[in-house]
Amino acid sequence: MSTDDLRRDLTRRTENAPQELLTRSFFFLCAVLSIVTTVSIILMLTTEAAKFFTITAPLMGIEGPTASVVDFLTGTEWIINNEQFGVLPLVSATLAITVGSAVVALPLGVATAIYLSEYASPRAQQVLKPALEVLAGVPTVVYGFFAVVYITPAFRTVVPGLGTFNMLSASIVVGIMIIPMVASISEDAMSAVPDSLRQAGYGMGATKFDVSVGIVVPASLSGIFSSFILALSRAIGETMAVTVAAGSQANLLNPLNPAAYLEGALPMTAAMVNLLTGDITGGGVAYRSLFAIGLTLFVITLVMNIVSDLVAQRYREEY
Amino acid sequence: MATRENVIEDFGHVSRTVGTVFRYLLLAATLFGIVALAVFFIYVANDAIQPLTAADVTEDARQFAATWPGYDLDFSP
Repeated sequence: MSTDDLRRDLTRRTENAPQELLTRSFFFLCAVLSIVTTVSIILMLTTEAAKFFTITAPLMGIEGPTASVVDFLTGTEWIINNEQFGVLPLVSATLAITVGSAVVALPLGVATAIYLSEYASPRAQQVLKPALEVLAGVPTVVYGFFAVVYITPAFRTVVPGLGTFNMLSASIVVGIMIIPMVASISEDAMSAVPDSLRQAGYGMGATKFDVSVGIVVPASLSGIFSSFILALSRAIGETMAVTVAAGSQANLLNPLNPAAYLEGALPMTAAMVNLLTGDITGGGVAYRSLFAIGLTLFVITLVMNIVSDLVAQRYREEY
Repeated sequence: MATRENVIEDFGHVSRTVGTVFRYLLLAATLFGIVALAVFFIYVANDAIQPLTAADVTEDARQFAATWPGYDLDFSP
């Protein structure tokens, strides 16, 4: 090969070559497709939810029963047959599940992350990490089954009046389910902390405990918070486990009251499943309430994701 | 101006107890979910397969046979 050929090969502009254009177009289409899908979901949710509310239904050409936005957002009764569509009992049940699962998953997840990042030998990591992933791989309906068949009877030996469907068991299984999410994201954040910080701590005479708690955890706080928010978003959106285990009676709960967890309740996702699998007619107000609940759920998780980004930016450490 | 001097006579003492307790707490937390899931699956397997019921049936059959002493009720497999 002559020098001219070599020079031509090395200096040839390839960015507009057919292969490059094809590849670039393909990846661009993939990106556009995911955005279009998301936007379509939002549009569909919004337009269908608009048919549910009194203020927007006439604009969508809907006649017949509708629900007031204020009644929907502030109502404390969710009784389909009476056309009482107060979403607060559903939101409170969802929040109770979220708080209960957070109590289980956040400390255990962070402790797991610290162990895997700071204490576990490479061999232990090879065993424990896939084992933890198994927790996330179990179908959620199986977790619901565990809650009803094993956890609730076990708790009933301590709390005799505990109902078959209760928030306690549902929260625990959802908590166990989201442990791997907290652990893996937090562990990634802890592993990204530079070794020089750890060595500086050891150089100052700190113990492994001091380094883990005083250096690694504060340095990876943004990642840890992100893992919390993402895991809690997953808990909010969890459907099958809570549909099986939490019950189907819409009760307004105080998520911060431990006694409330002994009762059954109806989280938003379970309410949607019940509506879809019930005998409501398509096109009616009960059917359209599905989309209003879906939109509420979407807004809650969207807000949580935005908060997660803000927290991650606020506590991000640049090394 | 008077100066204060802190003289450190020795390196002091660092307890290992906190670190050891912390380490085993972390390990317990790591194993909690895995062990819980394993226990659930053991329960499920036991309920599904019921490996101990065959012996119960044999024992029940033997007791039943004993209530009919004049008859040849052999339930042995």
